[in-house]
Amino acid sequence: MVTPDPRHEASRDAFVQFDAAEQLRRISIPSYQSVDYVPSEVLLSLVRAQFGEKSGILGAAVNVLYARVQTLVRRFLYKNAEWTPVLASTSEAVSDVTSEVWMALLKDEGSITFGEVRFFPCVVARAQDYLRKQLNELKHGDVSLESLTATDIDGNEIGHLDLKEGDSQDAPEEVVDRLRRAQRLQDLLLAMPKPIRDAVHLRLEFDYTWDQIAEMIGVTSPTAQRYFRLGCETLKKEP
Amino acid sequence: MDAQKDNGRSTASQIITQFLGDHARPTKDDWKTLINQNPWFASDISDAALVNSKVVPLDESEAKSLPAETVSSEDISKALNLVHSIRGQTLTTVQAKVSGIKGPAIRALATESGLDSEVSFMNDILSGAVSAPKRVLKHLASKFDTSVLALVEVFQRAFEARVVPSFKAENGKPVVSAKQRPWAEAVNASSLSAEKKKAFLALDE
Repeated sequence: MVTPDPRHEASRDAFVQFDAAEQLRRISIPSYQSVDYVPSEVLLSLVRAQFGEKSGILGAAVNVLYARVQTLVRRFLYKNAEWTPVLASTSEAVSDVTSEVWMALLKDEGSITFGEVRFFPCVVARAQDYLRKQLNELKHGDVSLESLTATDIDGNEIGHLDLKEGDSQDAPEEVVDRLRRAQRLQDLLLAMPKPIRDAVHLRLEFDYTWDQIAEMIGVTSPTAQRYFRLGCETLKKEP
Repeated sequence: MDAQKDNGRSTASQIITQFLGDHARPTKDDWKTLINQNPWFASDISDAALVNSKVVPLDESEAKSLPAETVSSEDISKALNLVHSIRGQTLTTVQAKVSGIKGPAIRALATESGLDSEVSFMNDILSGAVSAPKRVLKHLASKFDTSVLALVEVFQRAFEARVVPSFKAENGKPVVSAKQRPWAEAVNASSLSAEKKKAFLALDE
């Protein structure tokens, strides 16, 4: 449930009272320090309501607001340039992310949405969510579920489909603890195939039980443990 | 299946977005609480936590001072088309709700909106002939489950779509108003008692 901000409510109420010429003038003010500046939250409300389509207000609001979204997105991606491998190229990335954020802002349901209350964190969170969704589009190079192997108690290499049920050794976590201290865990996790990443992260970071993890990721408990071991085996290979 | 998955992902995105808006620097416990509240989205939230731990935050005051970019007319055109395609149904729905208020329902709506049983005023508001006063607008927005801005737009469109009467002027030229009548003007020109006029004018404060 989103709680409206009284300041923005007052801005909206005041805005509708102006004539079209004054509304257009105010929308065009670029500096947020001007007393007549129209906050992005209010612009988003105008856009979502398709306000002033015939008078040109809607077109002006879209123009200004979209530019503000693009500016924020470009800055965000610039500050997080290390994600560039996840994205096609910087210019394409800005365009793609801006478009995704724009659609999300429009699609949000409810008579008042989060973006209309706190625009900046909403846009940044949406941009971050775009990165999260891109993780699942990543090709993981040679790392596929089928190619991953682990070793059994006797040190024999076995494919993940052949792993026996019921193994409950915790030794790999001690290895992972060392790696976590080296701050490499997150990078390695991000490079893992999704179900393995889920099993490892939910177990190591959040301490969920195997049954909980199994239910969360839609597999059986033994499979969740297998995924976990596969992930740990990958981590063990790190020097 | 894909549609369900997309819908599920969209809802996870909304939950995560709201969470990140409320937590500038979420802790592990914050993320775990979110997972516990939404275990069906545990996989998405787990990834969101990972991404968040690696992302460099953007400072709001720094971002506000950035000069606005120039966007290509092609991108603006696409953005505007998306507004119509995604939000168009919302206005249509509100328009249908407004049009559906007929007969005794108008009197009831007038009464609950603070207009006593002055049906003619409510008719003029719903048809867009008269600008709705603030308090009535807020009540109607709540009644029709929409925003004040959307309702103002619906009334404006109703006004623009009105049928212009053809008539022969007896004296001078025929006049058709190009703008909605302001509330204060409509109230002052009416035959309401002075006390009622004062109360009605106060609805716009």
